[in-house]
Amino acid sequence: MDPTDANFRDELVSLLPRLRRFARALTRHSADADDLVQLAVERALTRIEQRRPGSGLLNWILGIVRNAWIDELRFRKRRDQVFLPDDAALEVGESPTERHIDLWSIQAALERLPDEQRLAVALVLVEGLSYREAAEVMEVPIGTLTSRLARGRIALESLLVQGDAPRKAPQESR
Amino acid sequence: MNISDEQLAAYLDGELSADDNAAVAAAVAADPTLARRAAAQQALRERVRRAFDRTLDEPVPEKLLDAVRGSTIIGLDAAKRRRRRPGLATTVWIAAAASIALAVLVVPRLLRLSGDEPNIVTIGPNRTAGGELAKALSLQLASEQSSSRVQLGVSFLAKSGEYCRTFITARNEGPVAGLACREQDSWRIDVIEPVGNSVGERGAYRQAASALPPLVLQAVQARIAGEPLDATGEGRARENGWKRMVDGAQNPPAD
Repeated sequence: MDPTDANFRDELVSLLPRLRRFARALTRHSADADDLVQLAVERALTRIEQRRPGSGLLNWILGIVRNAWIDELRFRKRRDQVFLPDDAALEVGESPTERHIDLWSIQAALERLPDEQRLAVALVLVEGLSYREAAEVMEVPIGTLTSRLARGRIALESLLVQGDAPRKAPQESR
Repeated sequence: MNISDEQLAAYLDGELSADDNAAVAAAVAADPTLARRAAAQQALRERVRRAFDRTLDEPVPEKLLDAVRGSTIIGLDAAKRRRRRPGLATTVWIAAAASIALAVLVVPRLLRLSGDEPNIVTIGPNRTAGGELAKALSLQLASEQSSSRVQLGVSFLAKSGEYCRTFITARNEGPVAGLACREQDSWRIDVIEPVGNSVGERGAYRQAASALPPLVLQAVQARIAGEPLDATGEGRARENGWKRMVDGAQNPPAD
């Protein structure tokens, strides 16, 4: 690519916060999420010519993040390797608020979803993409996106709400 | 009118045509059960959005800015090699750790426990875990389904360098949740609190995190250094007998 394409890089920088947010919905660990974004950014820089004119930069990069994520999952599953915890696991000095804990809860629940449902939820609920855009990023028909999203939502709701709504007191049971 | 999950979701996402939208809106207005479903899904939608939005305020790490601005474009392989940390692998492994939070969240529902094991031993001013509780704290991973009557929740390294774990177990009065931190050869119980019936009215949408009683939650927040351990980290801590870590020693060497 043309290394003088400063515009492109500036645009990319402005999208980094959103890319990180999206990656956090795919991988729970913030350091993993940043690795994923880095991988995607690097891919994007080497593939700038492949970008279809007219397609939004954000959606294009989200697609790259998605593909990088899928590649990594496959790669890791194949390798079946045991990894050690890493330094980034501890972000010392940051005391979690209830919001942090809520984010963890949601991330943990997201991880229980099948990959494709998780993607759909991440694109639509987290990133706020329209169904058409999300389907484009996932490279599936809109009907497929719709059904994955609906299933993902129901699953997410039951995962999160189960813990939220313990059994009613016995005397109230019907 | 029978509204499918997909239609309801599309309605909440503003993805329906004007006609369909009006039809679903009318159905929701007419059917309290459907209205509850819609409200719950809407709450979920907002909750997810809100939780992730906070990440937008975080400063972008330098390494990402460098990746974009760096004049040298490096190939994928080099990028991968350069990444010293395990990367996404942890994702796979963390799949198990999904239960870290979920164990905490789901447990109150699962508990059907009773009995009065001498799980908590009081010696002087200190409360120490005993019996089944001590065994579970030492041996059981949060991700493991276990037949024991103790459920483990979050495990983490405290700022003090101690490993601490949340648990829920049964006592005669009903389930209790607590936080235990590892001392030299015992688990000191810092907080213990009944898992109350403080559940909002049916259908009310509450923060799942509050499934941990507030005192335990506060204790976790006050002590934790960084994020909770993932399943791998937990496994390693267990292998090491939950021994207190000296600063910086909790991580494997970089190479």
